Amino acid sequence: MIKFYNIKKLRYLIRDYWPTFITIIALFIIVILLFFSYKTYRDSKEEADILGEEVTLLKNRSDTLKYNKSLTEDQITVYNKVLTSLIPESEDYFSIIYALETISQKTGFNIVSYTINLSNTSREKLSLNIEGKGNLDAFKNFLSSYEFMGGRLVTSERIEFSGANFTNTRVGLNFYAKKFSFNEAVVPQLSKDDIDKLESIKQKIQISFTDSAPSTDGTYDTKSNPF
Amino acid sequence: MKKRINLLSKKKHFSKLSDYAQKIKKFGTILGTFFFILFFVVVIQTVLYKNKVSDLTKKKQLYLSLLVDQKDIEANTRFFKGKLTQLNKFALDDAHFLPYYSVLLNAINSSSQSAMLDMIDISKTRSTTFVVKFNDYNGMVAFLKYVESPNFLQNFDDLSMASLNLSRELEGNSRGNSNLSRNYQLQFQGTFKQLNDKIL
Repeated sequence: MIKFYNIKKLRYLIRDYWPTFITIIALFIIVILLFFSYKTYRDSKEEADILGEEVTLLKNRSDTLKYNKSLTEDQITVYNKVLTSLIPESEDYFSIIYALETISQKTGFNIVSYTINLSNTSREKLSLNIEGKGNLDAFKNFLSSYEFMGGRLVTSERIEFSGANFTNTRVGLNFYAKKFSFNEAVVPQLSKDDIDKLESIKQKIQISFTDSAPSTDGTYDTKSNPF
Repeated sequence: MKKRINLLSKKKHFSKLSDYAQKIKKFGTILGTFFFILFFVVVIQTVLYKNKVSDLTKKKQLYLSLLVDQKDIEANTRFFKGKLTQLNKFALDDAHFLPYYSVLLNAINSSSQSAMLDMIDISKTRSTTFVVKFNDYNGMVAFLKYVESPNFLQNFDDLSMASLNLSRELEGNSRGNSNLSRNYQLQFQGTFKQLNDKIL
């Protein structure tokens, strides 16, 4: 009886207040719709922002490459070989010996001995103490050209000599090797100074860039009888 | 049992409910309209952003295809710039000895005939120690005068004389006579001014 009374009461309530119920339901639906549409809007905005940044980066890369076209692919390949020779990806001891020999021969400053300075040597830098002999002109030649002449980047943090006859000249020389890693998102812009600098270094060193030994033809006559 | 309808006892409750229903309808309509306008704006914005995303995706594909064609040039350019940066960084270790040495040598040669650069030490911070040797007193005095002149001091941030040594040596000649020769050594310490800004 109570249940029937309640159902009846509800029926009257719905009949009398249906516009109110519809308003509440409509409001509820529109809030849900607004919530989901805002979520979609936020996702789209986020996606557009990320894509916008990516496109800007890609556009910059593309524009930079267009600008860098003033430098031909062959030129930049040669410059990269020069740079790799100056600072190899991993240490190459033969090239250090070759560089010292070249500097010694071309400047006339005779490098008579060299020892590794372990205390000043790091993963990227090999430090050598060299001892050399030569006259004033040879020493000046050495000082003016040791940096690039040997085909390796050579720096000297400290130079010390005693005696006017240059018989006891000790120079600390550093050789460098470092692996290059691609860690920048932006393509770097090459300036005229960069290119001029490399061109001037290239003039100072003489390296032959033979790519590789000529490949031998793999085909040859085979004999069925080895004897 | 007789069924009765009591209109008076529930009247207050009924009118309250009716008031609430009216208020809900009124505010619900206002709020609903506001939310609907907001929903409409959000939907339009979403459509605009979707169009933008599709536009940007096309652009991205275009640039990517362009970059794929030029990937070798790009890699070479990056390598070039990266190695050049390494070169510039490592080149800072260099003392750039020659210009400082030349300045000192010219100064010594022009100041006194007997002056001789006996020892020199220059580091990459441009701090220097050098010893100048003389075999006569007048030559040493002439050099000291020159050292104090602005012409010489313009090459240094700071310069001071660290020591003065006098040594006597007995020198024999072909006739069997011996002469007493004097050697003066002046040791200086200081810091050179930056002479060359460029690495190369």
